[in-house]
Amino acid sequence: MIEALGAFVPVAANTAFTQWRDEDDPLRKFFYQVVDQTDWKTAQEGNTTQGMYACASDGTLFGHTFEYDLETVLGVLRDATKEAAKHAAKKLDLRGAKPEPAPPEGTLVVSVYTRIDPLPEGASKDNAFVGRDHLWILHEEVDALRKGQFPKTLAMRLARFHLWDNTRGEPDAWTEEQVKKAAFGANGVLAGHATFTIGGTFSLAASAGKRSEDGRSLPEAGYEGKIEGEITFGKEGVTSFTLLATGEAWGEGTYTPGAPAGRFPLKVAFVLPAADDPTRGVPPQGVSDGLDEYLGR
Amino acid sequence: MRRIALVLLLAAAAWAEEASLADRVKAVLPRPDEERWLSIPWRRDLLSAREEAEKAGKPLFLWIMDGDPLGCT
Repeated sequence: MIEALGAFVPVAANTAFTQWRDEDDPLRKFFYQVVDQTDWKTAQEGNTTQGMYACASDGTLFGHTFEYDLETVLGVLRDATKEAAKHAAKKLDLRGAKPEPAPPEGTLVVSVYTRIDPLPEGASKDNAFVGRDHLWILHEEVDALRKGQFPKTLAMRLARFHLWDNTRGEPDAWTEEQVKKAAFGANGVLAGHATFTIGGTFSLAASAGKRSEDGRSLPEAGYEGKIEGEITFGKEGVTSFTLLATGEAWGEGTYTPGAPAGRFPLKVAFVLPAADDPTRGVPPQGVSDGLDEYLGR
Repeated sequence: MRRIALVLLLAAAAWAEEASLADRVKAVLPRPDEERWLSIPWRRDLLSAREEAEKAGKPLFLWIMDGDPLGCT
């Protein structure tokens, strides 16, 4: 597949910033020009354009699939390669397209990984994946940590948008009312306070009754446990950030069916991304609900 | 002498605790086999990728998901 993709410009994108752009956004119009050449509205449940599409730079569709098995995707790529060789793409002007949300200047970007570990006996293999996300820590919040303070805005962002089970899909963000406890603190470790430990306990709980994607009434859900870690500062800023949330979760979300039965061990790890990490620019999942909502403004 | 021994004991305990946290974090991070898909040079921005494809005379391959494919499972 890697070889087949060499003939293409491969793009990985979120429907939040393609399908759900403003109606007058030129990039949305281009995107719909592509997907409306398929049967996306009837081919899959829900109002989603999730899928894989091979097209020319002018939006002419060469092939698509809503199935993710390797042979189907390779077939789409093979056919599209042949069609593309016969097509002369027209030039387009998409000026005016709104850029994706970007973090405010000075924001510390942290990679976030989630696992159900150990996997309970009898749990489906859908629970064996690693969830991926990013956490944005604002410049003023980094400054507060350096003074041994844990800002409430950061505590709420951590609790509402990152202490969740995203191993099977997009999780539901916790509301402020569902954050029963987010008692986090930072303490200096060494003389001069170059390193601070971070710790605390949390409790998140949602009542039963929310509807799932397929119309089921969801049971109650929650996650409770502790966080532990440390942040180290150098002359240039943060040189190290390690945080681990451990605890028990229960229930599932609107788009995350198939959770293990009862309570299960859920871990969330936070580390600095490598400088060459190609995913470090991906906005946090929580930004899809609105940048101000995510930042707590 | 007892004070030195106590300091050394506390330092050793602190070091062990730190190693333990690092190991526990590492157990959550993706394994190499879970990152192979990242060897594909995915572009994240459809707008600039379309322009790149137009200039290079190449077609586009779009992987679209609810949630970012590069920031999701």
